Amino acid sequence: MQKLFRVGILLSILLLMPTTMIMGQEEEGVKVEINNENGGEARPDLDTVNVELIFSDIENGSANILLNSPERKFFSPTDFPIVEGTELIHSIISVENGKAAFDYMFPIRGDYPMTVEVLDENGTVSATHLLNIHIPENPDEVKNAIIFVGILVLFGFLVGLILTARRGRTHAI
Amino acid sequence: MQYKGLLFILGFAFIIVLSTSVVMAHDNNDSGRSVDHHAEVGKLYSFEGKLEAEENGPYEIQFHAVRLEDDAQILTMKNTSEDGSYQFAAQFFDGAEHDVTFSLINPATNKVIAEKTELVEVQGFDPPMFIKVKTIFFLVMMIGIGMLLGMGVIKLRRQRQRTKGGALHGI
Repeated sequence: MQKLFRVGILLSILLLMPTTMIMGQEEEGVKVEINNENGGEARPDLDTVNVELIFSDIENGSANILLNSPERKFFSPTDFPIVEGTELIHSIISVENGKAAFDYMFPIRGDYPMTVEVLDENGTVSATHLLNIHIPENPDEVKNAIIFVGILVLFGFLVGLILTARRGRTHAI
Repeated sequence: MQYKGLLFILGFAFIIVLSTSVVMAHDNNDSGRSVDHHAEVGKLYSFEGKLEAEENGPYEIQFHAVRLEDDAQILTMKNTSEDGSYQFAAQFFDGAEHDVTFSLINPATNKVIAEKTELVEVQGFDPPMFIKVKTIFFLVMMIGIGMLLGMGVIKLRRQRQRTKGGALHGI
Protein backbone atom coordinates (compact mmCIF):
# COMPACT_ATOMS: atom_id res chain seq x y z
CA MET A 1 0.00 0.00 0.00
CA GLN A 2 2.79 2.42 0.94
CA LYS A 3 4.48 1.74 -2.36
CA LEU A 4 1.30 2.73 -4.18
CA PHE A 5 1.19 5.92 -2.13
CA ARG A 6 4.69 6.86 -3.14
CA VAL A 7 4.00 6.19 -6.82
CA GLY A 8 0.82 8.28 -6.61
CA ILE A 9 2.56 11.24 -5.02
CA LEU A 10 5.43 11.06 -7.50
CA LEU A 11 3.02 11.00 -10.45
CA SER A 12 1.08 14.02 -9.18
CA ILE A 13 4.29 16.01 -8.74
CA LEU A 14 5.38 15.08 -12.28
CA LEU A 15 2.05 16.10 -13.79
CA LEU A 16 1.85 19.40 -11.96
CA MET A 17 5.39 20.48 -12.72
CA PRO A 18 5.27 24.11 -13.94
CA THR A 19 6.60 25.02 -17.34
CA THR A 20 10.03 26.61 -17.46
CA MET A 21 10.30 30.23 -18.51
CA ILE A 22 12.99 30.81 -21.09
CA MET A 23 12.35 33.22 -23.95
CA GLY A 24 14.45 33.37 -27.07
CA GLN A 25 17.76 31.86 -27.91
CA GLU A 26 20.80 33.48 -29.39
CA GLU A 27 22.60 31.83 -32.23
CA GLU A 28 25.61 32.87 -34.21
CA GLY A 29 24.62 35.37 -36.89
CA VAL A 30 21.01 35.85 -35.95
CA LYS A 31 19.17 36.66 -32.74
CA VAL A 32 15.46 36.28 -32.10
CA GLU A 33 13.47 38.59 -29.84
CA ILE A 34 9.86 38.25 -28.78
CA ASN A 35 8.08 41.50 -27.92
CA ASN A 36 4.66 41.30 -26.35
CA GLU A 37 2.66 44.53 -26.63
CA ASN A 38 0.51 43.57 -23.65
CA GLY A 39 3.63 43.15 -21.54
CA GLY A 40 4.78 40.02 -19.77
CA GLU A 41 5.22 36.62 -21.31
CA ALA A 42 3.50 35.73 -24.59
CA ARG A 43 0.41 33.64 -23.88
CA PRO A 44 -0.48 31.06 -26.53
CA ASP A 45 -3.68 31.66 -28.54
CA LEU A 46 -4.18 35.03 -26.79
CA ASP A 47 -1.31 37.44 -27.42
CA THR A 48 -0.10 38.55 -30.82
CA VAL A 49 3.61 39.07 -30.40
CA ASN A 50 6.21 40.75 -32.54
CA VAL A 51 8.95 38.27 -33.47
CA GLU A 52 12.08 40.20 -34.43
CA LEU A 53 15.05 38.57 -36.09
CA ILE A 54 18.25 40.57 -35.79
CA PHE A 55 20.91 39.62 -38.33
CA SER A 56 24.54 40.44 -37.81
CA ASP A 57 25.75 39.28 -41.23
CA ILE A 58 23.37 41.13 -43.59
CA GLU A 59 21.86 44.61 -43.76
CA ASN A 60 19.20 44.31 -46.45
CA GLY A 61 17.84 41.36 -48.31
CA SER A 62 15.40 38.63 -47.49
CA ALA A 63 15.11 35.55 -45.34
CA ASN A 64 13.19 32.35 -45.80
CA ILE A 65 11.62 31.41 -42.49
CA LEU A 66 10.33 27.97 -41.64
CA LEU A 67 8.56 27.86 -38.29
CA ASN A 68 7.51 24.50 -36.88
CA SER A 69 5.25 23.87 -33.92
CA PRO A 70 6.53 22.06 -30.82
CA GLU A 71 6.78 18.28 -31.03
CA ARG A 72 4.15 16.19 -29.30
CA LYS A 73 5.02 15.29 -25.72
CA PHE A 74 3.35 12.29 -24.14
CA PHE A 75 2.86 13.79 -20.67
CA SER A 76 1.77 17.30 -21.63
CA PRO A 77 -1.10 17.51 -24.09
CA THR A 78 -1.93 20.97 -25.49
CA ASP A 79 -5.10 22.77 -26.67
CA PHE A 80 -4.45 21.94 -30.34
CA PRO A 81 -3.13 18.36 -30.61
CA ILE A 82 -3.46 18.36 -34.42
CA VAL A 83 -1.10 21.34 -34.65
CA GLU A 84 1.72 19.68 -32.64
CA GLY A 85 4.79 18.87 -34.73
CA THR A 86 3.59 20.52 -37.96
CA GLU A 87 4.74 23.40 -40.17
CA LEU A 88 3.27 26.77 -39.22
CA ILE A 89 4.93 29.33 -41.49
CA HIS A 90 7.03 28.85 -44.59
CA SER A 91 7.53 32.21 -46.28
CA ILE A 92 10.13 34.68 -47.40
CA ILE A 93 10.20 37.94 -45.46
CA SER A 94 12.24 41.03 -46.13
CA VAL A 95 15.24 42.10 -44.05
CA GLU A 96 15.66 45.84 -43.55
CA ASN A 97 18.59 47.40 -41.69
CA GLY A 98 19.61 43.99 -40.41
CA LYS A 99 16.15 43.27 -39.01
CA ALA A 100 13.25 41.12 -40.12
CA ALA A 101 10.01 40.97 -38.18
CA PHE A 102 6.59 39.40 -38.22
CA ASP A 103 3.61 39.48 -35.87
CA TYR A 104 2.31 36.12 -34.82
CA MET A 105 -0.08 34.56 -32.36
CA PHE A 106 1.54 31.32 -31.22
CA PRO A 107 -1.06 28.55 -30.91
CA ILE A 108 0.33 26.38 -28.11
CA ARG A 109 3.03 26.36 -25.43
CA GLY A 110 6.39 24.74 -26.04
CA ASP A 111 9.61 25.08 -28.00
CA TYR A 112 9.19 26.17 -31.61
CA PRO A 113 12.10 25.21 -33.86
CA MET A 114 12.68 27.84 -36.54
CA THR A 115 14.96 27.58 -39.56
CA VAL A 116 16.06 30.89 -41.04
CA GLU A 117 17.70 30.82 -44.46
CA VAL A 118 19.39 34.06 -45.38
CA LEU A 119 18.94 34.78 -49.09
CA ASP A 120 21.24 36.94 -51.16
CA GLU A 121 20.16 39.24 -54.01
CA ASN A 122 19.89 36.36 -56.49
CA GLY A 123 17.69 34.38 -54.13
CA THR A 124 20.26 31.74 -53.28
CA VAL A 125 20.78 30.62 -49.69
CA SER A 126 23.88 32.20 -48.18
CA ALA A 127 23.47 30.98 -44.59
CA THR A 128 21.14 28.79 -42.56
CA HIS A 129 20.39 29.36 -38.90
CA LEU A 130 18.48 27.14 -36.51
CA LEU A 131 16.65 28.96 -33.75
CA ASN A 132 14.36 28.07 -30.92
CA ILE A 133 11.45 30.09 -29.57
CA HIS A 134 10.00 29.14 -26.22
CA ILE A 135 6.41 30.02 -25.42
CA PRO A 136 5.31 29.31 -21.84
CA GLU A 137 1.79 28.22 -20.94
CA ASN A 138 -0.81 30.82 -20.00
CA PRO A 139 -0.54 31.16 -16.16
CA ASP A 140 -4.36 31.27 -15.89
CA GLU A 141 -4.64 27.94 -17.67
CA VAL A 142 -2.00 26.40 -15.39
CA LYS A 143 -3.95 27.70 -12.37
CA ASN A 144 -7.22 26.27 -13.71
CA ALA A 145 -5.59 22.91 -14.46
CA ILE A 146 -4.23 22.72 -10.90
CA ILE A 147 -7.68 23.59 -9.47
CA PHE A 148 -9.37 20.99 -11.70
CA VAL A 149 -6.88 18.25 -10.83
CA GLY A 150 -7.19 19.26 -7.17
CA ILE A 151 -10.98 18.84 -7.31
CA LEU A 152 -10.59 15.40 -8.93
CA VAL A 153 -8.09 14.26 -6.29
CA LEU A 154 -10.34 15.63 -3.52
CA PHE A 155 -13.34 13.83 -5.01
CA GLY A 156 -11.36 10.59 -5.18
CA PHE A 157 -10.12 11.12 -1.61
CA LEU A 158 -13.65 11.57 -0.25
CA VAL A 159 -14.93 8.55 -2.20
CA GLY A 160 -12.01 6.43 -0.96
CA LEU A 161 -12.58 7.63 2.61
CA ILE A 162 -16.32 6.94 2.60
CA LEU A 163 -16.17 3.59 0.80
CA THR A 164 -13.35 2.23 2.95
CA ALA A 165 -15.03 3.37 6.17
CA ARG A 166 -18.32 1.76 5.13
CA ARG A 167 -16.57 -1.45 4.11
CA GLY A 168 -14.88 -1.58 7.49
CA ARG A 169 -18.25 -1.23 9.25
CA THR A 170 -19.89 -4.09 7.36
CA HIS A 171 -16.92 -6.31 8.20
CA ALA A 172 -17.12 -5.29 11.84
CA ILE A 173 -20.73 -6.46 11.99
CA MET B 1 -14.98 -6.09 -4.83
CA GLN B 2 -14.34 -2.35 -4.74
CA TYR B 3 -12.23 -2.60 -7.91
CA LYS B 4 -15.26 -3.79 -9.81
CA GLY B 5 -17.01 -0.54 -8.95
CA LEU B 6 -13.97 1.49 -9.97
CA LEU B 7 -13.77 -0.34 -13.27
CA PHE B 8 -17.44 0.35 -13.87
CA ILE B 9 -16.98 4.09 -13.22
CA LEU B 10 -13.94 4.11 -15.51
CA GLY B 11 -15.80 2.47 -18.37
CA PHE B 12 -18.81 4.71 -17.93
CA ALA B 13 -16.77 7.93 -17.96
CA PHE B 14 -14.90 6.73 -21.02
CA ILE B 15 -18.07 6.00 -23.02
CA ILE B 16 -19.68 9.33 -22.06
CA VAL B 17 -16.68 11.37 -23.17
CA LEU B 18 -16.31 9.52 -26.47
CA SER B 19 -19.97 9.88 -27.33
CA THR B 20 -20.22 13.58 -26.49
CA SER B 21 -17.15 14.73 -28.42
CA VAL B 22 -18.14 16.93 -31.33
CA VAL B 23 -16.15 17.87 -34.41
CA MET B 24 -15.59 21.60 -34.19
CA ALA B 25 -15.63 22.22 -37.92
CA HIS B 26 -17.37 25.26 -39.29
CA ASP B 27 -19.19 23.92 -42.30
CA ASN B 28 -21.47 26.82 -43.05
CA ASN B 29 -20.33 30.26 -43.88
CA ASP B 30 -21.42 32.66 -41.12
CA SER B 31 -20.67 35.93 -42.85
CA GLY B 32 -22.55 35.26 -46.09
CA ARG B 33 -19.48 36.03 -48.20
CA SER B 34 -18.09 33.62 -50.73
CA VAL B 35 -15.23 31.48 -49.48
CA ASP B 36 -12.01 31.98 -51.45
CA HIS B 37 -9.84 29.34 -49.81
CA HIS B 38 -10.38 26.05 -47.98
CA ALA B 39 -7.54 25.32 -45.57
CA GLU B 40 -7.09 22.58 -42.99
CA VAL B 41 -5.74 22.68 -39.46
CA GLY B 42 -2.38 20.90 -39.28
CA LYS B 43 -1.36 21.67 -42.87
CA LEU B 44 0.42 24.57 -44.51
CA TYR B 45 -1.71 26.55 -46.90
CA SER B 46 -0.01 28.40 -49.71
CA PHE B 47 -1.25 31.71 -51.11
CA GLU B 48 -0.03 32.77 -54.50
CA GLY B 49 -1.17 35.61 -56.69
CA LYS B 50 -0.52 39.05 -58.02
CA LEU B 51 -1.74 42.51 -57.16
CA GLU B 52 -1.96 44.96 -60.03
CA ALA B 53 -0.91 48.57 -59.54
CA GLU B 54 -0.44 51.57 -61.77
CA GLU B 55 2.79 52.62 -60.10
CA ASN B 56 5.99 50.79 -60.88
CA GLY B 57 7.79 48.48 -58.48
CA PRO B 58 9.56 47.42 -56.41
CA TYR B 59 6.87 47.23 -53.79
CA GLU B 60 6.47 45.91 -50.31
CA ILE B 61 3.78 43.32 -49.96
CA GLN B 62 2.08 42.59 -46.66
CA PHE B 63 0.24 39.44 -45.63
CA HIS B 64 -2.22 39.91 -42.77
CA ALA B 65 -4.44 37.17 -41.31
CA VAL B 66 -7.28 37.86 -38.87
CA ARG B 67 -9.48 35.31 -37.14
CA LEU B 68 -13.01 36.58 -37.66
CA GLU B 69 -14.73 35.15 -34.57
CA ASP B 70 -12.74 37.30 -32.15
CA ASP B 71 -10.78 39.63 -34.46
CA ALA B 72 -7.52 38.10 -33.28
CA GLN B 73 -4.48 39.24 -35.28
CA ILE B 74 -2.98 35.87 -36.18
CA LEU B 75 -0.13 36.70 -38.53
CA THR B 76 1.38 39.74 -40.22
CA MET B 77 4.47 39.54 -42.39
CA LYS B 78 6.11 41.56 -45.15
CA ASN B 79 8.14 40.80 -48.21
CA THR B 80 9.37 42.75 -51.21
CA SER B 81 7.99 42.26 -54.70
CA GLU B 82 9.15 43.58 -58.04
CA ASP B 83 5.89 43.19 -59.95
CA GLY B 84 3.22 42.79 -57.27
CA SER B 85 3.28 38.99 -57.21
CA TYR B 86 3.32 37.25 -53.86
CA GLN B 87 3.74 33.85 -52.25
CA PHE B 88 3.10 33.15 -48.57
CA ALA B 89 2.51 29.84 -46.84
CA ALA B 90 1.05 29.53 -43.35
CA GLN B 91 -1.02 27.19 -41.28
CA PHE B 92 -4.27 28.21 -39.62
CA PHE B 93 -4.32 26.51 -36.24
CA ASP B 94 -7.96 27.18 -35.41
CA GLY B 95 -10.91 25.72 -37.30
CA ALA B 96 -12.59 29.08 -37.80
CA GLU B 97 -13.04 31.61 -40.59
CA HIS B 98 -10.14 33.92 -41.30
CA ASP B 99 -9.73 37.03 -43.38
CA VAL B 100 -6.48 37.32 -45.27
CA THR B 101 -5.50 40.73 -46.61
CA PHE B 102 -2.73 41.29 -49.14
CA SER B 103 -1.54 44.90 -49.36
CA LEU B 104 0.80 46.38 -51.90
CA ILE B 105 2.78 49.17 -50.25
CA ASN B 106 4.99 51.84 -51.74
CA PRO B 107 8.21 51.51 -49.68
CA ALA B 108 9.09 55.18 -50.07
CA THR B 109 5.82 56.67 -48.85
CA ASN B 110 4.45 53.68 -46.91
CA LYS B 111 1.13 54.22 -48.67
CA VAL B 112 -1.09 51.29 -49.61
CA ILE B 113 -1.34 51.17 -53.42
CA ALA B 114 -3.53 48.11 -53.83
CA GLU B 115 -5.25 45.76 -51.46
CA LYS B 116 -7.38 42.63 -51.55
CA THR B 117 -9.07 40.64 -48.83
CA GLU B 118 -9.93 36.98 -49.16
CA LEU B 119 -11.99 34.75 -46.92
CA VAL B 120 -10.40 31.51 -45.74
CA GLU B 121 -12.50 28.73 -44.31
CA VAL B 122 -10.48 26.45 -42.08
CA GLN B 123 -11.54 22.90 -41.40
CA GLY B 124 -10.92 21.87 -37.82
CA PHE B 125 -10.50 18.33 -36.55
CA ASP B 126 -11.46 16.44 -33.46
CA PRO B 127 -8.43 15.56 -31.31
CA PRO B 128 -7.09 12.08 -32.21
CA MET B 129 -8.62 9.15 -30.31
CA PHE B 130 -5.25 8.36 -28.76
CA ILE B 131 -5.08 11.84 -27.16
CA LYS B 132 -8.64 11.54 -25.83
CA VAL B 133 -7.99 8.13 -24.28
CA LYS B 134 -4.73 9.37 -22.76
CA THR B 135 -6.37 12.47 -21.26
CA ILE B 136 -9.23 10.45 -19.80
CA PHE B 137 -6.69 8.04 -18.35
CA PHE B 138 -4.73 10.90 -16.71
CA LEU B 139 -7.85 12.44 -15.20
CA VAL B 140 -9.22 9.13 -13.92
CA MET B 141 -5.78 8.42 -12.50
CA MET B 142 -6.09 11.64 -10.46
CA ILE B 143 -9.35 10.33 -8.95
CA GLY B 144 -7.63 6.99 -8.39
CA ILE B 145 -4.74 8.66 -6.56
CA GLY B 146 -7.26 10.51 -4.38
CA MET B 147 -9.09 7.24 -3.63
CA LEU B 148 -5.86 5.53 -2.63
CA LEU B 149 -5.04 8.45 -0.31
CA GLY B 150 -8.53 8.26 1.26
CA MET B 151 -8.22 4.51 1.71
CA GLY B 152 -4.77 4.93 3.20
CA VAL B 153 -6.00 7.47 5.76
CA ILE B 154 -8.68 5.04 7.04
CA LYS B 155 -6.24 2.14 7.08
CA LEU B 156 -3.70 4.20 9.04
CA ARG B 157 -6.32 5.23 11.60
CA ARG B 158 -7.42 1.62 12.05
CA GLN B 159 -3.84 0.49 12.40
CA ARG B 160 -3.25 3.09 15.09
CA GLN B 161 -6.38 2.04 16.94
CA ARG B 162 -5.31 -1.58 16.75
CA THR B 163 -1.85 -0.83 18.15
CA LYS B 164 -3.50 1.10 20.98
CA GLY B 165 -5.33 -2.11 21.74
CA GLY B 166 -8.77 -0.59 21.44
CA ALA B 167 -11.63 -2.43 19.75
CA LEU B 168 -12.62 -1.51 16.25
CA HIS B 169 -15.65 0.71 16.42
CA GLY B 170 -15.92 1.21 12.73
CA ILE B 171 -15.11 4.85 12.01
